[in-house]
Amino acid sequence: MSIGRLVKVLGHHWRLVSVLTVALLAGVAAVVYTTVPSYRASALLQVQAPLSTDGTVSLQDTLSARERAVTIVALGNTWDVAQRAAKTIGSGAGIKNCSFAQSGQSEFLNATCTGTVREAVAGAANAYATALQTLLETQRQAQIAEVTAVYQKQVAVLKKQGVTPANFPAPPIYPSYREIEVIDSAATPRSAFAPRPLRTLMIAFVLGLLVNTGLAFLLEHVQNRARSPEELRNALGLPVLVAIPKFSRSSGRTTPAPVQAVVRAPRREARAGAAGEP
Amino acid sequence: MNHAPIRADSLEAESYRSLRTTLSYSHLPEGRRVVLFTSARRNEGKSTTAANFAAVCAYGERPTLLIDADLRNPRVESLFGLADGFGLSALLASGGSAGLAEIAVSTRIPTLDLVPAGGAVANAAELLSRQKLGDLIESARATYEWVVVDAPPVLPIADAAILSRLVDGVVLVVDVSRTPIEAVRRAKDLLRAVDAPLLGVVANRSPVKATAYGYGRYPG
Repeated sequence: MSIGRLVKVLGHHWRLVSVLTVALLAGVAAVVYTTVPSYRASALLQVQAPLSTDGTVSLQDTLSARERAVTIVALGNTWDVAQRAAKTIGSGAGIKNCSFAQSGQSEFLNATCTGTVREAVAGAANAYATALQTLLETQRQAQIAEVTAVYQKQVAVLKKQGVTPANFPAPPIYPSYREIEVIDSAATPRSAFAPRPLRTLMIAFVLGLLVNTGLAFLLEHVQNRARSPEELRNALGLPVLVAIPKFSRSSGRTTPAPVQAVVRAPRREARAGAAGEP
Repeated sequence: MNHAPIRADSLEAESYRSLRTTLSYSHLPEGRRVVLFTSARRNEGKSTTAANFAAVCAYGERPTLLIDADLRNPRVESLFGLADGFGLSALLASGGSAGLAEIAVSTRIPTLDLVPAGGAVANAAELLSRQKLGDLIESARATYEWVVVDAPPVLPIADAAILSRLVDGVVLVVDVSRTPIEAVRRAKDLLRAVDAPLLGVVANRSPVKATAYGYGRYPG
């Protein structure tokens, strides 16, 4: 499609394109400016990998932490965590939604909350992060208690059998770190994330222009009219004897000047008697 | 003569005058001219154009006759505020010897007469094929300098093609604001197929800024 063709089609249908685009912008603006703003805040968490004896983290452990992050995100989005967080947030905080998501494929997680009260969303995100941390820690402590109980039963049996303590199996070793840590608390957002009037209106303007231009091309194809004497002459290969303008509706006339002048002229006698004169 | 003046600054009046000038210098025979106005489809402004063209010819002091030959959908009577009466259809249907003098109706301008259609009829093609119409037009040619025939549209019916054999020139009126160009092409091809003397087209309801076609608002 050439630029010339685009200009020609838009020239034919500029009123339609303008009116529809302005109507679309007005509609979008009405929605944007009457929508209650939404705010969003996120807390950043990291799944911990065990340290080696030299104080570094092995690649294997990092990969393991990343895999574990997937499971933890699923756990974070459970009813248990929501219930725990809800006790902290309290009702009436305008929170619409909270969820966990892995940041890419890393060991980092985001606890994100959205809501209509700017001051409340950061607290909610932090409460969610803490709730997940607490749940995981509770589970870890329960596992430690279970393993310790099994070990103590084994030791008691060995004692009864007269085994000396030096020959007891080594006690189980538990990781001393918590499984996830909040490394960056959520902060109160400075502005709403939705709606964003300027961006939304710009997108609506561009999309409206594109769609309405497409509509103009469709109309051009369907109607296939010659809109000017020049187009008519080119399309038919016939001379255009005259171009008669469209009557102005505001004038209130239904017949143009020459016939009106005839009708308003003074009466004269009928030339033939067979038919009546007006 | 006591004519009601046509406003000199009227753009539409000027465009009809321009059409009169163009046709005056066209390939029509000198002196007496019979011009037929038709269109591809209905409601393109064919009758209005024919009536206004006839009016400006008459105001130019040229004896002019406007014949409403659109027997299926007559419009000229209503444009000039005439009541239904004896007209072309009745004349063609009758076997008598009535002629132009019996059906021509004078208007308020001495130089303009009308032949009304005389009410809509169903067998228009049959009536228009009769020799009597040819005789009527020849009779008019002897009396008037301009004979303007308002014919039915070309595409739905054959009437215009029949009439085009009896006239000196055919003008195709096109409503540029809504008529598909393909319909106009078909109308042109139909007229060409019957060797109609096609003079050109009138671009009706055009955008006002058509300055290339010789008119514009000028002081009265």
